[in-house]
Amino acid sequence: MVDAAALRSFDRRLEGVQVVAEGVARVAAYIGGAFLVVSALIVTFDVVTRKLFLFSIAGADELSGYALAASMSWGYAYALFCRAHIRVDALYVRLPIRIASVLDVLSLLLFAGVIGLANWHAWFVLSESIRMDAVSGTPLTTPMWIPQSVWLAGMLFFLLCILLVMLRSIALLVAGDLDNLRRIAGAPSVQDEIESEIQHAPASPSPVVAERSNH
Amino acid sequence: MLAATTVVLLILIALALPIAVVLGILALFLDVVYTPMPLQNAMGEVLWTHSNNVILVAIPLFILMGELMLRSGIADKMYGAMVQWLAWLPGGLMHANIGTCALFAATSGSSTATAATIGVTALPQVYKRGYNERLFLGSLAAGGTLGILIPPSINMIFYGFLTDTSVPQLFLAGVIPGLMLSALYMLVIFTCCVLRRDWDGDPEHTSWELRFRTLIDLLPPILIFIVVVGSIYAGWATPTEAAALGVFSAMALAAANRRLSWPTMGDSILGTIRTSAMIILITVIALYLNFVLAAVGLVQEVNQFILGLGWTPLQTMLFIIGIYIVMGMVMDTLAMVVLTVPVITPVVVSLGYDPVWFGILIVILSETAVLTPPVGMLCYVIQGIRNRGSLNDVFIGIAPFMLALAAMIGLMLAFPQIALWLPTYFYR
Repeated sequence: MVDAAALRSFDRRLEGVQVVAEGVARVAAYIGGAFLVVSALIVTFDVVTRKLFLFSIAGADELSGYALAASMSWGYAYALFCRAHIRVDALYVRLPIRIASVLDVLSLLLFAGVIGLANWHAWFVLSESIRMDAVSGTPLTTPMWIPQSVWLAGMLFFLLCILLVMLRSIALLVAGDLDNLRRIAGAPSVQDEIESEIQHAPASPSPVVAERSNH
Repeated sequence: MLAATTVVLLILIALALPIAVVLGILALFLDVVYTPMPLQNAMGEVLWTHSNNVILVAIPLFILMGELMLRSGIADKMYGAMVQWLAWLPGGLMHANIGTCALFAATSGSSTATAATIGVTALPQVYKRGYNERLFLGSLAAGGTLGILIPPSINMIFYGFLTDTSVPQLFLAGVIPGLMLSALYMLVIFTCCVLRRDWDGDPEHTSWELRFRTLIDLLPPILIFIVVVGSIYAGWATPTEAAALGVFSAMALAAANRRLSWPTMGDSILGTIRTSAMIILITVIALYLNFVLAAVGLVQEVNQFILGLGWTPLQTMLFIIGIYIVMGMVMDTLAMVVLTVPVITPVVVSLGYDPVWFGILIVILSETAVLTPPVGMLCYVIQGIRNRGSLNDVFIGIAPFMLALAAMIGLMLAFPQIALWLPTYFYR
């Protein structure tokens, strides 16, 4: 017989880990987004100089591709913590919470399986690049292991975050704490969706004074 | 193979798994059961190739552009100008709702961003000016749909990538249907308010002097539209480069409005990563599934099945439209498109339809899907901004606008040139 109190305290300890992981995911999202902004600026510069001054920076598009790979693979975990990975919940919302909770756990188990497999195959891509000393077939001749390891690291972090939420939700399911389970792993309800959309659109735009950075 | 795959797909959907997981498991199932070759060995290569694909960079960049635009503070002024130009019609401000949405759509690739931005600006007016609340809510939700039909459109990039269709051609093809649908929405409002005078609100004070004075407020979105869409057709930029120009222009515009700050950039970035990470994960796994689908020959099997029914192309198309309308009621549009389009598009093309035309039709059906209950994302958004009464008011309010969407689908079937004239003129 498993002790519900012990499971809850196990969950609380993991909650502390999740707070840290969410912090990392958020910082990664900021950095990844900054990559995208910078690559947008580089590409803009490239288009303008190409058109007006007839010279082109080699590899602006290639770099933006790497920015995409890095920002998205590191962004997957952020989307996970926002519960933004959409699920078709037409049937789910009509199920009793007990069954829906089992589906939440199943979702995370299978998510871990699919992303685990993706990590496994991504590792082969990276190890092959290292073994062959592969470089991109472009003027930049980027050593492929650099963008690929950033990409793989992001996917690995995503996998670890899935496993973390999965462990917590299994503990909560066994302990019978279905409300908390739904809070961390459930598909967002209509109410949640509405709130997140509103958060997205800043109501009554307050006049923000343009800040200047001093650091 | 077709029957078994459909059953597996339905089970996976019923389990409410994340879409990325549904796609991944489906690919594994087909690989393990139907091929002697281990297709899985190519998985890493396929995932990496698409994860750093330059064409896909356009998706987060267009999302970032939209996030910046909705924080740039131009929506209020645009709305004020649209009121001057359109609110003298019977239906008053509701025409401004549609007009502002159409114009904002030209700088944003997403429906929810469009509806949320214009909704926040317009909604307070419904109580002050005595409009029929339901119709007013409906006009906001319906106007939001224009976001994905008038280029740039994230949905078109998504469709183009999944089906190997030209994104610039899709963008061009969306222009005329987008303008026609705006006009149809306004016709709905006009007719309703002529028939029922009490649904209209208090008249607005408009004058030619104010019209010309506010004209400058319509300029920023038009300029951004010209930069983004114009650069593609002038042959200066790929869609990805156009998206980068769009991000730069949106930042410049926000700076001009003194709204470009670290908090604005931070919020825009988080919103962008949240949405685009979800879309990109689905996209790269969907592309792996596409690879598997092609290898096991499922697309051909679906093709033979549908051709074997012996229906005329029009009957088949009507059947497909019916399926999409039903799916759209219960499914998120992204899920709907990613699960069906890679298989259905080749069938439709073999029946003699144009893939660009079908892409526009899919976008119009996606617009229908984001409005229809019980799962109607745009109605949720408008209800969320309103934050009182029942969600059903919004669902009732969009009913008349459904007629406009139905008419638009009918027109597309009867006159495919609505979508194809511009791309043919420019490219073929």
